[in-house]
Amino acid sequence: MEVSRRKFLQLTVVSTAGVALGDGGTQLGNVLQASEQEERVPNGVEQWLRTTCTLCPGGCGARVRLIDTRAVKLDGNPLHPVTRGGLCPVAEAALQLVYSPDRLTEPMLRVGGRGQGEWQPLSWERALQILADGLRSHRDKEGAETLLLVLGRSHGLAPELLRRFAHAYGTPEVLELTSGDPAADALWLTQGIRTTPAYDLENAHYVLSFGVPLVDGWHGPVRQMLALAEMRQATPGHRGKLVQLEARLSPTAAKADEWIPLAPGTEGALALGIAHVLVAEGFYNPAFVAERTFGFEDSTDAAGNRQPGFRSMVLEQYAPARVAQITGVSEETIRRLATEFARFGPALAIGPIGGHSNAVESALAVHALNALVGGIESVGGVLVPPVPVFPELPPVDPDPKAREGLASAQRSPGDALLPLNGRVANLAPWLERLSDVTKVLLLWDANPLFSDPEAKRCHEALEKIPLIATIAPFLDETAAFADLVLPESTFLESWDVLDSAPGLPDQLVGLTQPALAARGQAKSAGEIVLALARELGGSIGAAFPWESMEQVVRAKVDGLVRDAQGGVFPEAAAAQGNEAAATPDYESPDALWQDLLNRGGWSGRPREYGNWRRALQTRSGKYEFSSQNLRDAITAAVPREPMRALLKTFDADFTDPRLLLPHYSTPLPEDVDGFPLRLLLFRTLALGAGEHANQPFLQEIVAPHVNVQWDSWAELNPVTAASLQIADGDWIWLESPHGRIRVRAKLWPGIVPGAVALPLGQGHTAVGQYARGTGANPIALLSATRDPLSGAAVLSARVRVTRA
Amino acid sequence: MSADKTQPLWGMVIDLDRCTGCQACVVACKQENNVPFSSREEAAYGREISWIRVMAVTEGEFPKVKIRYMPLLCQQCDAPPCTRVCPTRATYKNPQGIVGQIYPRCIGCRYCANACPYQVKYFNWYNWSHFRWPAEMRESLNPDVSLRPKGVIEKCTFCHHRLQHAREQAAIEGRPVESTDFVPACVSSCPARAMVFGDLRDPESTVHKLAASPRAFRMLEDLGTEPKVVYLKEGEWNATTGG
Repeated sequence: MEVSRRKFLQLTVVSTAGVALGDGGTQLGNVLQASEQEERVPNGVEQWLRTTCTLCPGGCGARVRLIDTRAVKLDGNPLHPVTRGGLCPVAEAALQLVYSPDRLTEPMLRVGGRGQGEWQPLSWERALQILADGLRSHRDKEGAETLLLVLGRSHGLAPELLRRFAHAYGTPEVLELTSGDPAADALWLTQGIRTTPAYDLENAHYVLSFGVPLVDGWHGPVRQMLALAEMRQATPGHRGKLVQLEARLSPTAAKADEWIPLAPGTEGALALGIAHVLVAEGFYNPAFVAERTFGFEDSTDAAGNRQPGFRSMVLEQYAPARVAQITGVSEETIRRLATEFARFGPALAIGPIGGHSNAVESALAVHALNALVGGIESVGGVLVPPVPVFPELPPVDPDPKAREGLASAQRSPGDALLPLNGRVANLAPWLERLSDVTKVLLLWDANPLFSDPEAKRCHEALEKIPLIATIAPFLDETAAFADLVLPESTFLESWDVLDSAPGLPDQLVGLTQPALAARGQAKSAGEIVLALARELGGSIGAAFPWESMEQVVRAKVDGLVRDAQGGVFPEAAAAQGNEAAATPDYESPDALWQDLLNRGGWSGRPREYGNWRRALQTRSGKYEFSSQNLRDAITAAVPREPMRALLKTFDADFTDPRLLLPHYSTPLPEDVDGFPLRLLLFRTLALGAGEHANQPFLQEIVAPHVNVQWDSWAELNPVTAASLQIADGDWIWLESPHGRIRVRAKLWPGIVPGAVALPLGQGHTAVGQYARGTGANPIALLSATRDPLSGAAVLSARVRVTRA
Repeated sequence: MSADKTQPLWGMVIDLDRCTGCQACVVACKQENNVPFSSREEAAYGREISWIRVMAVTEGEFPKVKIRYMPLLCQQCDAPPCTRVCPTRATYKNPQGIVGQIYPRCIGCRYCANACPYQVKYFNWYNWSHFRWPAEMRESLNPDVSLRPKGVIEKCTFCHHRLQHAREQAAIEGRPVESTDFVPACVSSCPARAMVFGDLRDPESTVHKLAASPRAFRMLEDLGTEPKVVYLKEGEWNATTGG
């Protein structure tokens, strides 16, 4: 036997250590023995492929490194004119999604009771047959409107194809889930445009962010991070300033030049306090206000009644002294912020993103600041996003049965004032209302049984629906309750196209191409729709003449060639920012196609300013401080009984004209006896709202600021904790009138006293081995309280904290 | 500084003004270098391996609070304390100034880990590669980086395998390796473009210029370790000029 020098060393170490350490010595022996076994990773032919990440709407350019048929690394695409080669940690961890041992690999049919976890694997042929048979029989007997579609995401091709399917099939019931978009609601109410506003962040010099999580995942974090850096460093000798106003020291607040903590849910009051100073001191832009706004000055209506304008309302009601009392921000700070906002422009006010019952009202107040300084359609201001590059697919010709179904009115539960184009933030009441009619429910990437504050109500409604099918990559909480589970492929195995990210003023499209063969039998949602339409045949099949998703993408690209400006991402675009290249002449459509595949996407028109016809589509053709769209919505809602009760939750009577002006109302729920603390829930970049919780690399990075990995935590101000005799790291119970959870307390000065903050996304009971049982789901603490304007869930509650 | 002046002196500049603490670098590094993932229990023991990690230090009392994010990786010291204490010469400084770790030589004594003032040398407590990675996840292992057995120390190599590839490429093209020929995985991923990599000795390189910035500092440089990772401290907004 040969004894190498290494082996010899090992033996001596083991023998001496064994004596000294007892049992520990044996362990050390194992350590050394194991180190002898060497493992090799098979090598192969290397190839890089450009694509687009679709994990969030950000649509960052990506490159995949392939070794033979294995993907071993994801990196940014340096040719992408916006993301310029950067990728966020979620995209970097995408291979743990693709190669997760927990992925669904074949269609499955429930065999035991619902949610019992007994499944029978099926072929696609059989699975589609079962679904198509169910659909056909219900459509023939009870009408096409008995199908309900619930879409969990709004980006990519799948929503368009699923909506197209609903249209061809004949159901008006398509619900697209959203966590609420108060800035979009504010844009609709003040400028008459139903979309998420775009922000010229790169060119702003002063940004007041009312809790917008710029660097923690909002609208694609890569662009926001680069924009922030550009705002501060692009002009030598000049530095832009970011002021973050929120109750918690979020990662964005940590990177801001100034963090101003304020009482939770009082963003609107603070914005109006700043507006008061701008108006009182004459710091606003009089030319813009006179020319482009409506409702600033008092007026008299047709009946001769005096209608207060924004000026008199804000001067009367939002003096800094009163606002300081509401928000906890000092009068002096309010005055200073107003002065800086007026003086150091281009200034931009953004947010809030929601979570409180007054979110839309707050967004109206914040957007009013932009109007006061003329920061609309201007450099460094709020812009209207570009139209998508791709034209829509050719129209569908529904058959008579479908037309009958489409003619049936969509059954809104009527408890929100501004339902945005079928996007809903409150699934439970919709499901409840539809569950009597709905016979087949098809879910795509939607997991309400984990994410909805009224999960129990959703659960009860689901029980009434005869057939539930879901398209999902994992057996999540809702899929576990379905009858038929259709395995979905990931973006590295699929074709897709992504339009400009929300909030981005540049016209872009990213192309996603499969780098890998799909795992097992998984298919993309688009492929599943194509196959299902084929199976159903008739006019439904005819609406989907494409054989594959590649053909759908090609159809889109052919439309682009005819109509679009701009061109394929230019080589070496990294340094050039947003300049779009002129369209080169391609010899054939195939040459263009090849170029798109090689470089990853198309950049169209650069951002544009001062297009008033497009930016101001209200009845007055102006920015409306006093919103006529809101007046119409209220008028339409008043006869509806559920709305009457809801309108009472406003501070003002609904006939009060001041309701149409930006105003502040106390966030709900108000104080409840015995529950003295306010709960705040937030998303993390790593886990999102829970969709990335099954990726170990992301569980490892959840919270470096409080040193937490693989867990939930509750942030408490040391002052709050001291009053409750809670020490750092203690197990605590958080109780609300609706539920309770057990987590570890983290004492941290980055949260206002009197509040407790928890991350969303942990506490799965399904999905996979890394997510299941990791941390606690704070959704359990929430009530059914909603923003009465948008219907969005309130991610806040009154709680009490006790040592566990 | 390294003796061989003909070789590039690889170094990194991290602009803390741009860094948002997002940890894309952390995940990119783990994926590139076949770094195993931990479990909840192992992480609680402090046994997670992360060649680059983001320190987040909370400073101040409410309401004047600040978090300072700082990506921390091997500083690739030009006078490394870790190599001096290694009994088997498993850890050493190579001619390009990169501090290497030869796994088959390492006996797992952890002297180097204790000698490192930056605490960036990691011990393999578990036989991760054999038992931890599910078969599906093993598909994404990088063939360029060897798997480390239980019982050895591992650390950041500035993605040395990428340098080797760049040198082969340069040799094929019959030219010396240049400052822009390669970047480590962390630098490549950084969404905020806060990390820059290159030849600190080349006066034309971005790293050389940035390292001369008045914002530049090296971590614990008074220890005489001569780090080749340079940090740029955060900028400050000027309240009088508004810029």
